Amino acid sequence: METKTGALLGRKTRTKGSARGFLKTLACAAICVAASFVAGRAGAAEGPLFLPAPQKATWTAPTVVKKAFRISADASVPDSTVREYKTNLFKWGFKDADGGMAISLKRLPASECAKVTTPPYRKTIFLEYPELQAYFLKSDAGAVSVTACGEDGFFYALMTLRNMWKDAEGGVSLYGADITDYPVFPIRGVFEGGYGKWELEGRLKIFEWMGQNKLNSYAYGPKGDSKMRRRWREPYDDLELFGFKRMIDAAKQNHIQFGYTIGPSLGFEYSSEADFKVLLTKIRQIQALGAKNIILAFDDSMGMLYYKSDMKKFKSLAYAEVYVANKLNKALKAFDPETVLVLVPEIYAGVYPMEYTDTIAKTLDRDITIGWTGNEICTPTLNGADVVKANDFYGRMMSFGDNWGGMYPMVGRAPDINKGTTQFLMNPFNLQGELPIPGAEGASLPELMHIQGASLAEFTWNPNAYDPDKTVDAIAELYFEPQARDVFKLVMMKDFYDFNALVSLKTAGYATPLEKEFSAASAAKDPKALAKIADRALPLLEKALTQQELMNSGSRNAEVGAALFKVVNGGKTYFEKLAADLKKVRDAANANDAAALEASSATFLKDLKEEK
Amino acid sequence: MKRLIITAAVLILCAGAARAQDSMANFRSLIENASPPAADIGGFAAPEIFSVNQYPLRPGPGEDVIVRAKVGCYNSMVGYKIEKVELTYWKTGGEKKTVEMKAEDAQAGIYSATILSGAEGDEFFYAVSAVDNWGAAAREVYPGSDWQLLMDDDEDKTLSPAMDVRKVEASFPSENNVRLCMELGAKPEKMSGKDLVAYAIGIFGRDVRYKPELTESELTSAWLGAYLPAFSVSDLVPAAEMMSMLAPAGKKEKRADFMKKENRLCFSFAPSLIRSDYVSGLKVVGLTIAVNTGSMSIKPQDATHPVMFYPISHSYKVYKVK
Repeated sequence: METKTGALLGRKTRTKGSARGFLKTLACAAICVAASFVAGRAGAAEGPLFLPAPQKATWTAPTVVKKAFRISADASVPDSTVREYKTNLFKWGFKDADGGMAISLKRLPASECAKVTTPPYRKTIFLEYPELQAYFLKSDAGAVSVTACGEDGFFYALMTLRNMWKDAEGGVSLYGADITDYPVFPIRGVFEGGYGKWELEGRLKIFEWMGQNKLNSYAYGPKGDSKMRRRWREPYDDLELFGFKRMIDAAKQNHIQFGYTIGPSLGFEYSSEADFKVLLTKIRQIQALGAKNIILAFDDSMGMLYYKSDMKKFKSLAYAEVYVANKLNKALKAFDPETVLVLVPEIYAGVYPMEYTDTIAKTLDRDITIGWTGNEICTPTLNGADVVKANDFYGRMMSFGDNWGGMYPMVGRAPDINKGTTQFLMNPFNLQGELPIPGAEGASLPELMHIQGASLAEFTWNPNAYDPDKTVDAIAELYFEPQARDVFKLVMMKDFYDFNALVSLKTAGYATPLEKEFSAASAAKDPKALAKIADRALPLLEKALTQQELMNSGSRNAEVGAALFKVVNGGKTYFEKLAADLKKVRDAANANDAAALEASSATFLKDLKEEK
Repeated sequence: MKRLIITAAVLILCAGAARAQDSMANFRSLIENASPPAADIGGFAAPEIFSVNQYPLRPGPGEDVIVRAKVGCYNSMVGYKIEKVELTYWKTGGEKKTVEMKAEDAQAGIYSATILSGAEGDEFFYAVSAVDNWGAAAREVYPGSDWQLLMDDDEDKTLSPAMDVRKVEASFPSENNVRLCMELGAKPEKMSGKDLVAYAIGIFGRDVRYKPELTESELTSAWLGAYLPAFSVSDLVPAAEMMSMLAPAGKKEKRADFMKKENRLCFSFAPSLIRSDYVSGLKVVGLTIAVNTGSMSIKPQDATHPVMFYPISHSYKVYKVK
């Protein structure tokens, strides 16, 4: 059998398929995981560090070749793919000349790639075919061969190739590799659904980042766009449309499917032809630009039947909403049969049988999916069975949009969620950015997606190998200079507990590495271990107290550093408290005072988790 | 003295033609009042191809493909209307066909045409163009070395042929190279009477398009593929950096290759220089300018109607997925 244990380190591990072999594999897995935890996910000796880690990869030492390329493509490869490779290689500074990478491209029938991919929950639209996103990449002394079954697969191979070279004397240093790669969730992405609104230029940059990180779906739904909700009747003017054009162009270039949300609850006369026409005209503005996903949002709006005509025509609000959704679905599909309509009902979390949800389940057209945030609005945990239960109740696949609003990597999401859905979107509202803090302008910052979205990219591509602790390490290494990484990790830890406390994620059962280590030593009543932890953590806390600007100055990406510093600058009281607690722990440990050690340890853990 | 004159002349040019619009009111008036055939550089209004999409996205053998374009004239700001939208398409190795795209919803600016189905392995390419009732245009320039007309301009007998712009063409030979050519009625000249002559292909790439109160920033962000025959200088420069063209020392690497053949002036450059998302469109105007060395004033002599051009490739390969 073949394990994916080494995937996060870019390694491949093979053992025989016997029971003993299986046990060996498990043992090896544990050792590998432990080893990688200790070492962090540096991977430099093994292969380049990038997200998401490939499913299977074997790396060999880099070779220096000229910063040039030649491409030869099999006749089955689309011209658009060859152009895409050239455009990107030119952008990265390569010249079309001999002596550099010799790239050969070949397309296989989709059925060949389907042999390696994980079967998805369903295959209704092309985006749900993981085989079209799979690729095989081999690199050896400048000879690079890419085989894929679809344009997306070629693109993802190119995005992997992007991470495999570095400028070096005489050209570029290019890793040798043998990679087989594909996503587990066919649809992975971002739902911009917070109360603020990202500015356009920032959003465009995030599209590029999404492409590089192999995220392929974006849904526009910022509540800060008043024309999306409160002023839903007003059409976008030409300049606004030009903004959408730029977004959709950028999305296409980065192999991202663009979705558009509209929330027409306010004052909508459900039975009115005139109101329906206004709604359709508005949506058509964006649909005609190429949006394939339309999200009809009736959530968070206190919708009601305002008009006598509606009260007469519909038994309840649910019937009215379904009436509009079904009619809209037909109209949208008449224009583009590939359009997917998603309804976000008033109740969009959990499974609660009642007239409203029963009506939607029974009367909504089957090809309309339902936007759903999991067991709760900010769901602490979610697994495949939870999604299947909701699917069974609603009689269709749920479109999962995760309200994970913290910057800390996601926790509490089981790797089997793909058993109930093909898609995993994250609404990366930033908790601190969303709060009405003066100066924060009530909007999360798109640059923070680099941090917030890292776990999204990792988890959705390869959920079985996902580890939030290692993702923190990876983000630290990718985005921060060595001197800034500890501060970053502590700030992330604080962010996790902030988020945990505010949205009650306590059932997630996750503990940060510091909490885990401290809890274990505390439970073992091991004064030496506790003192050691305190000795190690105290200087870091001091650093976090005094050098938070390192997140800005020590960032490898100025925009990410500045955004992070803007949002998380603070926490002085928190870190001071922890430092004081730890000093007490150390003193008690050194004095061998068991009672004081127990009390101070409990206080530290309580303060660490910000338990009130 | 001569140096001073040159410097002053270039300084004026350096704000691009935009400096001629010395007041916002004046500029606004040009935008709002320009009417066919007002070939004035102030009338920068050109249609926009907002999007081109195909349905289905991944056509299989035997499936017709509908190509839809959403085209607009920024009607909230200028009074022009789309007059004609065309689709040019071809199969690898086949002849190009151009068909008119029918208005599905003229108010929303949605036009469509059908490309008949292909067989497994066929590869189709297509490009859209649109013109408005003033004569301004929007054109997708498909990849390849073919010269594609962006805008032609009638002969103006009141002008010296060397100052008369006759057309602007483009080609898109590779992913990092676009060529723009301007054709004159005669070979370029150094002077027009007592005036210095400047030739320029203006390229406007800012997001701000036609919002009158913001247009000035668009103009001052212009790039010019400029040629000053009197000083044998040519390059592609941001308007604000025109001076660098005449800098005696420390010359930067040229941004564009310049080619001159008879009455044809061409610039070859990487479109990403102008803007990274150049596929969203670059607006081009071919113009000739006279600089009066006495009064230091500049006078646009001739200009083409503006054209939005999109160096972009639309193609699909027919293959089975399911």
